Amino acid sequence: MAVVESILRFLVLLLSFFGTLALAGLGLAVIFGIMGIINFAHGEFIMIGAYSTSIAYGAGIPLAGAIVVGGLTTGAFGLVVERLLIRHMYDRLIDTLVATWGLSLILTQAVQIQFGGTFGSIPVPFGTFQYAGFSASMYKIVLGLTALGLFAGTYAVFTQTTYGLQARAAMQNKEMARSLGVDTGRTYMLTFAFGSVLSGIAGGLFAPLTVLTPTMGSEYIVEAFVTVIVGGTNVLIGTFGAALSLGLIQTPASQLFGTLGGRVALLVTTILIIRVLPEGISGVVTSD
Amino acid sequence: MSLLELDAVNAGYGRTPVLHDISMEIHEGEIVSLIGRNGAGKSTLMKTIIGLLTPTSGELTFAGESIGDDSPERRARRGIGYVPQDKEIFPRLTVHENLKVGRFVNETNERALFEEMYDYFPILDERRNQKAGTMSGGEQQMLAVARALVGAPDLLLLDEPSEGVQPTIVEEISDIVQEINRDIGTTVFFVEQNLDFTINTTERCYVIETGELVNELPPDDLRDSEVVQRHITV
Amino acid sequence: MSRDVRKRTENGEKDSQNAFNRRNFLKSVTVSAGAVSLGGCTGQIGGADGEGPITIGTLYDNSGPLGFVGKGKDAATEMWLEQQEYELLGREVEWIDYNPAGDNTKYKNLTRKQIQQDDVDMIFGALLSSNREALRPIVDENQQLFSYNDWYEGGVCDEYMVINTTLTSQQRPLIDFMVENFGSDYYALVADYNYGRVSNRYARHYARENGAEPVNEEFIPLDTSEFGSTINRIREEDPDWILSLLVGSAQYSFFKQAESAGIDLPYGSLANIAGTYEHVSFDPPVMADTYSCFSYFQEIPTETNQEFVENFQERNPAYTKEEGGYVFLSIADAWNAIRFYWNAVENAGTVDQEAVLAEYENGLEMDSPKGPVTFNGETHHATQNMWLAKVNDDHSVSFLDMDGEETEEPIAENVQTSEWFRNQCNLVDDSSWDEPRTEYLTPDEGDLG
Repeated sequence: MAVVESILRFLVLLLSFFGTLALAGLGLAVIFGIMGIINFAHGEFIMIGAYSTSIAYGAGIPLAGAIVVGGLTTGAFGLVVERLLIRHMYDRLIDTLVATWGLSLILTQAVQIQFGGTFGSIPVPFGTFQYAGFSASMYKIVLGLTALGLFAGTYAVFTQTTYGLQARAAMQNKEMARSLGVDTGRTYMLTFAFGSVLSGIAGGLFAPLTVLTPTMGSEYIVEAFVTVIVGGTNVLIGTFGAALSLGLIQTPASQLFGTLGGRVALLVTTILIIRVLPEGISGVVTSD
Repeated sequence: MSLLELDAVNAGYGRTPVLHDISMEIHEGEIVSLIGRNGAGKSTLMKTIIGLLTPTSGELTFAGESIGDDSPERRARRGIGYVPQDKEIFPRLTVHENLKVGRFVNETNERALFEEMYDYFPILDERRNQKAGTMSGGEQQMLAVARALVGAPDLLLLDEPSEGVQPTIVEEISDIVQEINRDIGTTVFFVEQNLDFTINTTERCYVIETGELVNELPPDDLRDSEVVQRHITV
Repeated sequence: MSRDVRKRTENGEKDSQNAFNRRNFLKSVTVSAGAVSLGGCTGQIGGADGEGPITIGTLYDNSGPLGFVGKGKDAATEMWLEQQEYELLGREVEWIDYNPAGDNTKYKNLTRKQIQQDDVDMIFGALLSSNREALRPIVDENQQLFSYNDWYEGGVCDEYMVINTTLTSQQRPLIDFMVENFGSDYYALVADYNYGRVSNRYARHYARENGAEPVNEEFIPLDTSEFGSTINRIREEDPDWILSLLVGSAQYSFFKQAESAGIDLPYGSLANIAGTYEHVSFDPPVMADTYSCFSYFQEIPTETNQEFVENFQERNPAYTKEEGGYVFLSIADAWNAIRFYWNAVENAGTVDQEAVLAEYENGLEMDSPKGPVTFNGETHHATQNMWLAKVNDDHSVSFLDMDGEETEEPIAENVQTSEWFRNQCNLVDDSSWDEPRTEYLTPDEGDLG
């Protein structure tokens, strides 16, 4: 069935674009949405997740476990960065931009010196999905579904835990939250660590599909920023809506005009959306 | 016994001093109000007590301990509940979530008073799962009061609870504040321009003028609306 | 002057990358003492014949995305210099090793510094064409002899540049082989920058001469690492084989993603394996059935090469298979580059740059890990053998002849630059030291026919 094949092809591609956009953007969105901080080293956090996943995988831990290790390692690293660097710069957007940009350069070079140009690769698991004349990488399907799972997990963290409630309160009104006993310093520290865990998990999930290099973060930084810009400050709905709508643009565009066409469509759409909706998708869903 | 004590407190915004040598004392179980004209420094005093402003000099003592160097979150956890002038409920949290944020006020409380609050404010019970930002001004004010009380604070700070609220609701809030004072023993300190609210609720009243406490009206004077009027007319 | 003072970097100190072995440690101890006395003689005597050391400069990235390439080239340079005990024509050789870190502005500044401050006799350097084009005006203006030795699309016709690496036109046997053995419908994946586009033009031209035609040519931005739509399109077009001009670590993700999507087509590559050893980096069978044609592969089964590889890996264990490394094309090219220079100087009996160039133009010949190489005086490019490597299922490499039979011989011998370029560029007849040609020629669509 050629029609079924075409639909499958479209859906799988959409799922993989959606997964890439959502995974690349989620950690950045959490940190930006809650703390108002733009982490320019976000790509390098993804890289750290990928490297630590690869090291754990090389040590014999199965991939799923290795990805968890990658997420936790990146989270621990994020915690250190927050304590040493970020917390001194709350509410100073430009300062954090410059500081995290500097951090990204340092991280890239440090990894280059420590591990050299390329690093142990992880084979793509799960093999091939086959239906009639159509075949696709099973892992890409899993990747898209995992992205959905991470959204669900993030949603649960923000709605079901004390930390999540306090983070949302601090995001909406920091002074009032403090006046009600919320230790916003601690909330921000946990937020940065949580965002880092998400970036690390994304890095671990990307690791089998890509080549690990110190500069690999730059491959995801466009996707991450585009998703967050289009999504706006609403961490969950904004990011999810952005990844889905951008995926819906990129999928047919890249089918019709190739990879370059898909990329161009992505950027043009972003420009149009911020023209029409300066606050991104969040501006639509959270008008109160 | 004194619960809150201010001794020669000076505070302001940046380099602009607003409060000059404020000294006052609030005893456990009292309901005390502060009246004064617009711009006299009422809200500034409230913010200085909760810690959103740092005094440039002077001593703040709460339950016998100096709190002048504490952060707002620390003061809240010691047992001060704060209702700011503009309500400042969290608009994108539900009513119940707003209350949950307040439960860490007074960290020594044994349990949060969710059900009690819903009993005092039945309208909040009806709207438990509604986003707080979608409610009316009066309902938001009730939520702000309930949120500050849910952790059973020792001291409740109310900054102009009647502002922008319909008279019937003003009366309701006034009644509930007195009930809570009676039932739970919460000490109340509030700032008001609304005469009725002040007269109905308060036991003792400080008068502030251009950043200085100029008078303290005992309960008898409070019944004399002429006296009160003089201090708060704009 | 201490004989150990042989290498300087930007900071006047031995760089730290190998600082842990004892010999380098001793060397670094003597550097500070030596640097003082060096200051007295460089700049005064320097390049011209006379007393004092011969100075050669290298400009290979030691950091940035191509840092691993430049480090390999420096390691090859060092190996040669140590074998020669830093001595040429009975004089001491001083090596001035700067790291341009992939930054074209640094390339320019460091070129200027080597020429004007360090007064070098010869420079080896630049990795990308963009690096080379950034510094070439400075080289030309200062009449500085310069060796470019990293694989590129071809086209530099410059009096002061001597070039000894694989050019896209020299890889023609790959296209002939792929069409002959797999069919005439191919799908081209092309890195979207100058090297990719120009090389694709050559490939298409050679394919058409064989009656073949691309079913699609997809130009892919360099930082692309998501190939879902490309894989879908390949499946729709159903080609006989895939031409890879994929460049850079992001784009190499294609091979992994194609493998896991069940694409089972042979790759004919003008850009992989020899220089970037994907068959070592990736676990088999991701690169299985890749055919690649270059002048050098670590696996070339000649005695000269095996000895070279052993020596190099013994000195630099990072380039062994155990460490995930590979003795790649750029290393062999840097090795040949400095050896060509050595031969030219020895023949000339001087480091006078014009005299040395004359020796290059006389047609230097030598044996090398690649096999015999000749320097072509007219084009200033090397004539060399091309090998066709096949990556097997276990990622080992076999060499094939035109019929697809395994062999221990190159697929083409003594391959020159393209006919088009030879017609355009004759630096012996049309150019001289003082009236030089300094051009960078790019063929248009019709030029190659």
